Parts: sequence; C-alpha cells; structure tokens
Amino acid sequence: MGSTTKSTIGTGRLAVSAGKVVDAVAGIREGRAGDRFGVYRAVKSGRLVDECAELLNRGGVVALVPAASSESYVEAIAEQIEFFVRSQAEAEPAERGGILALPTSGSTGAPKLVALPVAGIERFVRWGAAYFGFGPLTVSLSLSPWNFDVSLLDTWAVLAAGGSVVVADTARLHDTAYLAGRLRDHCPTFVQVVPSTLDALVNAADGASYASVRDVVLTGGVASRASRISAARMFPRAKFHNVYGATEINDCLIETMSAVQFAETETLPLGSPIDGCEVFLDSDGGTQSVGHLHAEAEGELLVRTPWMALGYITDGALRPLTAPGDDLYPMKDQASWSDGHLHYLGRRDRTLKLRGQRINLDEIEQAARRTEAVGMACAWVEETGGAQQLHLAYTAPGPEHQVPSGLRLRLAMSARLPAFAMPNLLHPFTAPFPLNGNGKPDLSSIKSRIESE
Amino acid sequence: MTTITEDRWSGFIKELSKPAHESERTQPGDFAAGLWEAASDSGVFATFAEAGTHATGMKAAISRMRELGRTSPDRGLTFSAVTQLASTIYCLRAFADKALCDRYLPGAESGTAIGGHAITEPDAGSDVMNMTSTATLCGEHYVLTGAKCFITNAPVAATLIVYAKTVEDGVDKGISAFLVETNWPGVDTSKTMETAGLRTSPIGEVTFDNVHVPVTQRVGHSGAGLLILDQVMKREILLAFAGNIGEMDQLVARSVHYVNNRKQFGTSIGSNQLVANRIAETQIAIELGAALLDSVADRLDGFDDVTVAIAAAKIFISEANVDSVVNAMRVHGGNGYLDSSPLGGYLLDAVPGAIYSGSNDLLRTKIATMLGIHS
Amino acid sequence: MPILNDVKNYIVEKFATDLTAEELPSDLDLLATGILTSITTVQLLGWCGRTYQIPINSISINPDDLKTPEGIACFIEANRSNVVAS
Repeated sequence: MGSTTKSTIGTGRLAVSAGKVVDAVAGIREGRAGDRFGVYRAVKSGRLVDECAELLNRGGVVALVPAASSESYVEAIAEQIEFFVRSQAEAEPAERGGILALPTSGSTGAPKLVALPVAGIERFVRWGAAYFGFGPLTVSLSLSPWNFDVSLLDTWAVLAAGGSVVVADTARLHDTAYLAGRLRDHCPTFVQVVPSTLDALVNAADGASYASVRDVVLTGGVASRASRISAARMFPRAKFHNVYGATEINDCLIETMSAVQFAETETLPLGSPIDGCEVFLDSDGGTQSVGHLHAEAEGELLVRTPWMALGYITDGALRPLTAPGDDLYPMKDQASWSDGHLHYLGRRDRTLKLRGQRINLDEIEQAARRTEAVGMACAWVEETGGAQQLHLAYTAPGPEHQVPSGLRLRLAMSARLPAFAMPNLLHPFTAPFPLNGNGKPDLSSIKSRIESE
Repeated sequence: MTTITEDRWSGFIKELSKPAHESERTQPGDFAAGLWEAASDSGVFATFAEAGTHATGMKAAISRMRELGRTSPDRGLTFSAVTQLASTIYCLRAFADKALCDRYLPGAESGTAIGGHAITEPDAGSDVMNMTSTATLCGEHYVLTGAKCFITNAPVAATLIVYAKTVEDGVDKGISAFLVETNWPGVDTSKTMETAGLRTSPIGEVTFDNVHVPVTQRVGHSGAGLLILDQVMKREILLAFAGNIGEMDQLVARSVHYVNNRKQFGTSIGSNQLVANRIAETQIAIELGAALLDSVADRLDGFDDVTVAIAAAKIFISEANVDSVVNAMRVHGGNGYLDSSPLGGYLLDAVPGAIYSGSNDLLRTKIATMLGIHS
Repeated sequence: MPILNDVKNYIVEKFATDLTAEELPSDLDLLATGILTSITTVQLLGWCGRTYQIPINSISINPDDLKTPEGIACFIEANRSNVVAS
C-alpha cells in the first residue's frame, strides 16, 4: 500500500506505509543566488523526497527535523535556516549548490545543524550504489528516521540507483507483528541497522530467517555479540558490513565480512578506509595514515572524506568543521591499531577520572555486553558530596531472557574489569531503554525512571 | 607528670620565653637549626615514646605544641616540629613493624633525623586518589616513581613517608605508605618552594626516579595507605592547631601588655571596651578551640568516627587564628603595622591554616555530606 | 551467625542496593566486584566502630581483612568490645 514517486536526483520508487509531509515553514525568498529554503518534519513519504530533492537541485537549503518535533522546535530551526539563507545571499555571490541541514546532538545536548552540500551527497550516493550494487531490483528497508544521516545510504542512494525503499514507521519499531510484516511482505535485499534497530529486528523475527537480505550494514555503535549472533541467523545469505562515520563526514571506514565472522568475532574491527577517504590515527608516534600503520598505536581518529559537511549553521553563518588550514576532522573517538586491525576504544569524551583512575564509560558498557548476560548497558558517574559512584543500567539480552541478577552480572564483569572500573550501583531494566533522538539510550530518561522507583 | 623530659621541656620553654629570644620578622628561608636542636634536646620528640600514642600521649603532645606555639618566636619551627611528630614518629609507632621502628625512631625522636611525608602532587591535592606516583613490586623491592610537592621539611629531611599507588602482580592494590631515605639514589629533594609565610619551615618538591624501596620499608599493609593517612592527618591536625592555639595565647599576652601600657586621652587604651573586646574574643576562641582539641584527643581511643569533630576543630581554630592576628593588629594600631612589629609575620603565618591539612572549604562540604545533605 | 548477617544487611542496604542479604555470598570479593571502594570502606569501618564498639582510630587495619563479608565479620569478632551474652 502506498504511492510511488520519482525523485529528481535519480529515479526511484518508494513504498510508504503511512504519513504525509507537513511543510512546517516554507519561505520563498528570491535572492541573487536564487535561494530558497524548506524545513520539513522527516515524515517518511515519497512526496518529502521529491520536494527536498527538487529544492536541493535548485540550490536551496533543506532542513530535516525529527518527525515528532514540536512547533516551537520547527520554528527555531526555521529561524536559523532563514537567517542563514538571507546572509548567504548577501555574502556569497557564487553558487554553492544545495545544502541539506541535519540537526545532530552535540556533546552538550544542544542540537547543531550540520550543513551537507549536494555535491558531496551525490558523490556518496554514487559510492554506495557502486559498493552495494544498488539497482532497480534493490529493496531497502529503511528503519531509521530520515533526519538521520544514515538515510543517505539506505534511502537516497537506493532511490538514486532506481531501487525501492520500504519504509518502517520509526514510531512502531517495537510492534513485532508490524516489523515482521515489513520483512515478510516486501523481501528486502538491503537493510542498514544501528544497535537499537538491530535489537528491534531480532525481537520481531523471533527465530525466523529472511533469505532475501544480501547486505546488512551495521553502523552508529557497538552491537552486542548476542545481537550479532541472532542477526547472522536471521540473514543467513547476507554479507555483513561494519561501517564507521559521523554526520559531519558521513561514512569513512568499512569492514565487510561473512555471517559467521559477524557472529564469531569478539569485537568487530572498524575496517579500512572507503574509496576516496583518508583516515589517520593521531598517537604519541605522530599522525599516521591507517593504511601505513605497522606498530601498535593508539590515539584519536582524524578523517577527510569526499563528502564532508561544509560546517555548522549557527547564528546565520557557516561555522567551519575544522580549524583554518586544517581539513582533517577530529572524530573525538579513541581507536587502536593492533594485529592489522583498527579497533574502536570509545568516545574520548566518555573518558573520565573516577577516584583518580582513568576509565572509559564505553569500555565499561562493552564489558557488560561482552558478558552476554545483558542486552544494552548504560554507564554514568554521579557525585554525591565528594564521593563518586559508578552506575550501570542494563537490560535483558533478548526477549526470552530474564534480566540477570546483579550478583551474576558483577561476577561476570569482574572477570573483565579491574576493581576501580567496576560499577558500584546496578539498575536492572525489565523494559528496553528509552532512546533519544539519535537512537542512543537517553541517559536523563533512564535516570528519572530509576529515581521514580 | 614530672619526668626527666618534663624538666628538660620546661627548662627549654623557660629559655624560649626570655626576651633575648624575641626576634623580629625572621629572614626568608632560614631554618632555625639551632632552635631545632634546642627543641630536640628538650625531648619533645620523645613525647609519644613516653606517653604512648593514645589519648594520654596525644594530650601530652597537644599540650607541648601549645606551649611551643605560645613561647616560640618562630612559628615555622612549630610547624616543622608538628610534622616531625605526626608524619614520622606517630606514623611509625602506630603502623610500622618493630624492625622499621627500631631503625628509624631513634633518629626521629632525637631530632637528628628530620622527617616529613609526601602526599600532595601537582594534580592531586585534596583529591588524594588522583595521585600518580606508583610503587611497583619487583621481587623483594618496590620501584617508586613520581613527583610530590608542598612537602614540609623536605629540603632538610633525612626520611620521608611517601604515599603512592601500589602495583603488585599487575594488580592495583591501592595506596600504600613507604619510608624512603632522602639520600637514596633517585630521590631528589633539591627544589624548594618559596612561600609567603612560615618561611622558616622549609617546604619543597621531591621527585622519585625509579627508587628501589625494599619491601621491608613499607609501613603497614599493602593498600592500607588511605587508612593510615586518615589517622596520621587526624594527629597532624590536633598538633598543628594546638600550635595555633599557643600562637593565639601569645597574641593575647602581647595585646594585654600593649593595651595596658599604651595611653591615649589620658588613660590606657585597654579601658576602651571595644579594644578590650578584641582581646576577649581571641580568648573565647582559645577556650573553645583548646577544649575541642582535648575532647577529640580523648575520643580517639573510643569507637566513634571523629571526622566531623576534627574538621570542625580545624576550621574553627585556623579561622579564629587569622581573626586573632587581625584583632591584635588593630589593637596595636599603627605600631602593629610597622615592619618592626612581628604581627605582619604572624598574619602571613596564620593564613595557610585554612589551606593545609585539608582545605576549609572542602572540610565544610565534607561535614555537610556526613550530615546527609545531598548535593 | 548474627554478625555475618548484620554485615550482609548493612552492605545491601548501603551499597549493593540491587541485591538481597540472602543472595550475597559470604566469600564474595566486595572490592573486585565494585560493591565496596577504598572510600566506602572507610564508611563501613565507621559503622563497625559505632555498632560493635571497635576503636577504629587506634588500631592498625589490614584492608585485605575487609574484602569479603566473612572477613569483615571476623574483623568485628576479633576487635569488638561489646560482646553480648547469648
């Protein structure tokens, strides 16, 4: 059930389940550069793709905000975009081409508008189509919201190659019958997941397998081995791809593997640079390209891609991504090179001092997941009157499993973590974690749920 | 209690009270070695040996530090003496085994071997757990590496009790205490720190570069460093602020003498109620502070946690000391402000009391936490 | 063993709030499992001192003794001053 549409970036067919596009603010302003802009709630519909593509191809600015955004939020973004478009028209005589602005949550929680140029999107879309062999027979299941940059691969790239996009309503991902129906009725050949949507799929499949899927892309976080094992069983004929990136640079690293490797590997490596991308590791030994690393090294990842954002839109101006004269983007992620593989160590801003010892909250959550006793884990430090306590909230590993007892989890984790990194207070969650706009566990909701008990 | 040392001690104090010892503002950085020797000869450092480290011994030591504060012209020396007693002598007697005590107590208690303790680091002051100095076990010795600062007596010390993270078989055992001799290879005490006050109490930085510390030099159990430090600091606070009480006694004596002899408008200024009140305020603080110190000393043998009481005593006395110096200066008027008056020196020496042995701001927060106030 | 039970109850009440005293093994390494830290050990000692009349300010304490619930119970047994006739 749905409507078909043609986008003007390429040609494609789009099957939609529900929803319509609401043009929250569509200001038309004729400037010297012929600028126009539109701010849309990213309700998944073919008309949205058409309108956005048409506006972008005319050199306009399109902002996609979460489908459930409030009026005031949409107004606020529209103000930013309108101000930006107006100041662009005055300052820049040259045609920059269209800009897709996606809000991403900064480390302070306040959203930043990332400005993606159409030329870069076009290059990325061409890479994606070539690497995954997108064509008219491709059926992509779009699980994530369209205000997420991941949709550039699972939706825009597929449409541009003439394929179809089966839309899953992001508000109904917990509805196992609905999600299983999407898989069963449309036989997707391509699916991209983030850890939370992978868990939703595994939950919905309930043991069934889908042979139609030939490529599964995992991105946006670390999936537990339990989930990966289930995924390998669900998609027995698929190749699996671990993809690393960020909204600012889109994707830059890919590791392609078999279902067996996806299930068996303890931690998935980050992979090798995507064609045209340059990835560097900034360690004590200096900044080296990951293609040229020999000795073991550890440090921050620095990246340059053919599809980098122009910058952030703030106060009507484009604030550049990087310092002037330096076009390498710091990912603020720590990685290591060992045994010929690049491994993710955790967000640099998730490293903090706990009672004098350096700990990384990502590592602690990974240690919890690796015990295979939990599904999702969320760690944080709280300070009460000078005493720091490490908290860990966790969920069951799967729908048929019980939430493990605190004792069992502590014993299992103590085999993997030194005493100073062990959580002091545990919070079992019988339901899945509340998620934030980025599909990641929403820490403040988790905390308030704990407090209300 | 009249012991041989008691006679020697009172003799020393009597000597110290003689006007001949009245000195003006002391020269920067001069450790009064002569005065230290005289103090050592009085037997003050043997107080714990005679009276034990429990309530009786503590009260005797408190009493002596107060007397020293009251009679000595050199407040820096009092501070160094407190460090000798708490950091090294009390620590060894309470926590070290017999072999270590036999080896180091004679020197420490005769004052011939000056000691101190190394706790603070550039990035770990109040946040003591943040220290990075590490002692790694290698067979029968530890290898100690790190850097410490704000160590009282370091430039003249023969021994230092060093608190460092302990690593044994790759496992972090927590913080332990080690007795390190400053003449061992790898120990560098050459860097001194110039401070605004307490200038005759030498203070400095120390670096440890792969120092070999025999296992036998560890004080107490591996990983017991935090517990030992907690107890040592309690004694250091009691003694240091007993010294402060004595200094306040000195201020009262000076001020009473001054206001009785200084005449204005045909009468002594002491007959002005407001002037007299300033001195009375200091005496009130002395009564309260001294009583609290004695009460805590008694409670140390008991079963309850004296953390709040000690914090209260420290906060109260250190702040009252500064207020008392300011009051004394006001009582002395312009004469108190002259460079030839020792009161300026008193002030600079009193100010750090709110900083060392735990910052008053953090101690207040600790009291609030222990009362159950959520932050 | 009443002391061991008191110790377990105190631990699950103040620290491991997600556990019950019954499921806490007597020989569980409390430090390795994050239930106690070097700082909360001091809090535990304060409780021992008050509850069992132990002169915690004047005895030399080996932190290894306080690693497990039974270790803590033994420490209390060895140092307490208020033995109640049973």
